[in-house]
Amino acid sequence: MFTINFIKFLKEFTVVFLMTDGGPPLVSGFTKRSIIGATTTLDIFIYDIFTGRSSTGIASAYSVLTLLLVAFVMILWFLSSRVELNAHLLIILVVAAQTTLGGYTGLVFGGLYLLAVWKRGLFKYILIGDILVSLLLSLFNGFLRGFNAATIISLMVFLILRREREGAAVVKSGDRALKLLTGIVLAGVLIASVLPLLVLVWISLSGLSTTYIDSFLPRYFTLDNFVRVVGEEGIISTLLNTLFVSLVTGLAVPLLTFQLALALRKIKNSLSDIAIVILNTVGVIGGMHTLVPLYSIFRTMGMIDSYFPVVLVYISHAIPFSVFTIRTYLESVPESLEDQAKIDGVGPVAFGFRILLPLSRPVLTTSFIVAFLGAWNGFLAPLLFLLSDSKYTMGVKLYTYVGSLGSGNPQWNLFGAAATINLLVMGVIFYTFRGYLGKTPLSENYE
Amino acid sequence: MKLRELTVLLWLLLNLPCLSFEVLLNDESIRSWDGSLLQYCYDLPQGKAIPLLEILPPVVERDGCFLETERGRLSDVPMDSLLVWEEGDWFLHLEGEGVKILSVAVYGEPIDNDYLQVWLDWEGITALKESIQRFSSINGLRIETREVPKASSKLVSVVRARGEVPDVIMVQSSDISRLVYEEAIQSLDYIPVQGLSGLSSFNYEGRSWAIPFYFDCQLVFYNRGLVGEIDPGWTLEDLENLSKDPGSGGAGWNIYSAYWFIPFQLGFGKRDLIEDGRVTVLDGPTQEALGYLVERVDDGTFRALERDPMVTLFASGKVGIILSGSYMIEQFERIGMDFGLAPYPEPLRPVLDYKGLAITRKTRNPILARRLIEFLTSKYVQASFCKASYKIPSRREALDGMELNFAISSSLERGYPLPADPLYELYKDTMWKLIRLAISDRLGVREVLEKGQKIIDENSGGVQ
Repeated sequence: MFTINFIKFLKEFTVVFLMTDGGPPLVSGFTKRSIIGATTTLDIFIYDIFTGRSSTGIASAYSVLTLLLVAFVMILWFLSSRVELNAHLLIILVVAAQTTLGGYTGLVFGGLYLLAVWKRGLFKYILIGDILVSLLLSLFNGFLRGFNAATIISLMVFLILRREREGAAVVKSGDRALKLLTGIVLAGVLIASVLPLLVLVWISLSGLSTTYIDSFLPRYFTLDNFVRVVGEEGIISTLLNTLFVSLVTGLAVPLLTFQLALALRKIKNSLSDIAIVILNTVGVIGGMHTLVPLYSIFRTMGMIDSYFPVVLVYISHAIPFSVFTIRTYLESVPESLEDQAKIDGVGPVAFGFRILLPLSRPVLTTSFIVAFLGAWNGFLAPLLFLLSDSKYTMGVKLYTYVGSLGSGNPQWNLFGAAATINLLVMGVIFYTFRGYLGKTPLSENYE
Repeated sequence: MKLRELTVLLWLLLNLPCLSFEVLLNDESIRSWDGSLLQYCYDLPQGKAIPLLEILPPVVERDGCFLETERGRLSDVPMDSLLVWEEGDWFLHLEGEGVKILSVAVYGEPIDNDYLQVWLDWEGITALKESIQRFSSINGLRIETREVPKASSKLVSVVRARGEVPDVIMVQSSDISRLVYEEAIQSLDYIPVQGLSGLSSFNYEGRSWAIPFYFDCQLVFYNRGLVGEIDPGWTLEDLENLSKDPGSGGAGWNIYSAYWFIPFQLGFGKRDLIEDGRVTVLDGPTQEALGYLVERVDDGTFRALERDPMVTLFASGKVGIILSGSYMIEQFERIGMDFGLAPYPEPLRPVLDYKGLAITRKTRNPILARRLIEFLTSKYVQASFCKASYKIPSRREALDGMELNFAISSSLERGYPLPADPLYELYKDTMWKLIRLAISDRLGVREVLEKGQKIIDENSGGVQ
């Protein structure tokens, strides 16, 4: 789960771009061609270069490096998930990462890590040196010049090797420190979740278009924004459009991926994991770069300005996570159940659909919800494939109120009203299906 | 039936044809207008009226236009002459006199395709859709308008994918270079532009690529309750003194933004942002302007406020003077605030941000697209649209009919239209970072401009 989320947020672009546009510039951020900001992620950096240039060479080069980093992480995940860890392979992966991503420092440390292949005990000390050098170089040359990205890979491998050696840490259930830490983290998550909602409601009730809050209630309190978005802006029909797209996506994803997950469950060797790796890596390549050729294909099929390409894009985005989740769930089903089914004369196909499918209701519901919410919040695909504003979904509609950061006249109050209504609807849907999340018929207290 | 009723009925039957006038195209009647034309009329000093141009059927090229009136046939009638509804009939107002119209005859090749697709972006879309609907209804056309966020970016994607492009698209000056590079729009040198301002905003590589439609201008907003009235002929020094006055609430705006920095650069002596095909930030005016702002922020004369805090603090009376755009007038009026508008203090020059209408290269109906643009940029349509949407019309004549604030008309006189050159985007994207580093005192003015100049020079070669 860490690996998948790491990759997912490594390529996160929309939120960071729309909210910060790369962030305030750093003194150490001066490069030959740009000034890197506090929140300039790799994707924003690539986007800046891509939009400003007539040549795409540099942007492509950075994209390839991003792909390499993701590939390293996926390979790391694949190797670490084996029953028996191949420590030598892991260290060679570190060497490869250092030499390709680490620059001159990486070349030096790549050679040093190679020694650890023969003497594993050296790995820890080389890593310490690697981290110290990174810190020192960051201190003197600035973070962007000094930090070695391959050090992350080295650290991850170290933790994996350590976990294998020492086993999982056993934590007493009554550990007060852990409870305290859990409480603090949960409180932080709660505040971080609730605060934006309160801000959203505040701006939706303000007669002034602003996100700057200087009073408990808006000074120019009004409900007019809600009246406008419902009455004049047609938000209800936009919600219905979004519901349709999300429902189709949500229903299609588990239907399509269950069979694949079922097949992967049967594969006992590493091919199953390789399939997951490929699915996730291909998912990284997708995004803005594939939308233009997809547009061309759908235009030839006469499907532009229809929901079909939009739904297809969302389904493809949701497949990797769904396959992974369902497969993992199916692997938890005891083998004895299948043996019992065989004894009762139930063939493998019938076992899959008459026994496993009903048992998989919770995970299929999870897959449905994740795909549904992903489609609900989507922006780029409907922006590109839909031409009629009567067909727009919520993502596009919300965007029309504020545009990109730096837009001179965003309508934050209308955005707030529309977004509040949007969240209420999503909340109702999520609340309706919450009972299925995390439960399994295989557990003792399943109802 | 009584005699009186019969008489009225007879009168009506005899006069009914006279209550309408016909519109003929190549001697064929295509339309009759009676009182139903009133729904399209403007409320003008003369009464309910509509300009002649708006009722003429669009043709490929107008070979002639004749009006049959009570006094005979008229030709070469100015297109902005008004048809006024008086006493239940239509009268042409010419040289202060009204003459009853009987018919309007146009000669020219008709446009065979009556369909247009228009992509709209930015503000005022509802009002613009209404204006386009007028043109469509009067002429019996099928014009599909679509609100498309990031319209120019989407057009580029559609062009690359060889998809169906619109006929007309609303653009801003910074879109032009990219759209030209992608061969998405066509040159509009053939469309007459007399009387329109902001032409330079859509002029790129010596050709005109869009027709200016409306603009927003930078203005000074002030709280009357805190500041009193500001003399329209005020100076930068007056702004400083007002801002220093504790009772005024001070002056604040988004000093970090390149968009709000340009007036200071120009005010301190810079002639143009892009000179001889180059963006120069390491020059005297820029250094002086940036140095000036750094000092004023450091000594507390001016406050560096992002957009949202600026708006909130101004509305709540905690800041007395802000620099913002004309698009904010509607918002402050809506909340009932007592505010005043002042032009930028001398010697600063406000930025004029134009939006225009472009015709795509692959349009299926270039003639009708041109006619639509001519309609939308005509005097009364401009005045009506801009009044409804709080925008400023590009047609100067349209300003006459609007009660334009002196601040806005003064801004038009000495304002600086944003250029269409792609170097402007490079300047803007780099400059805001340089300003932020300087204002926050993390780097000195000279040092930050030196580094910034290198980046700009390095990137200038690759800008499309």
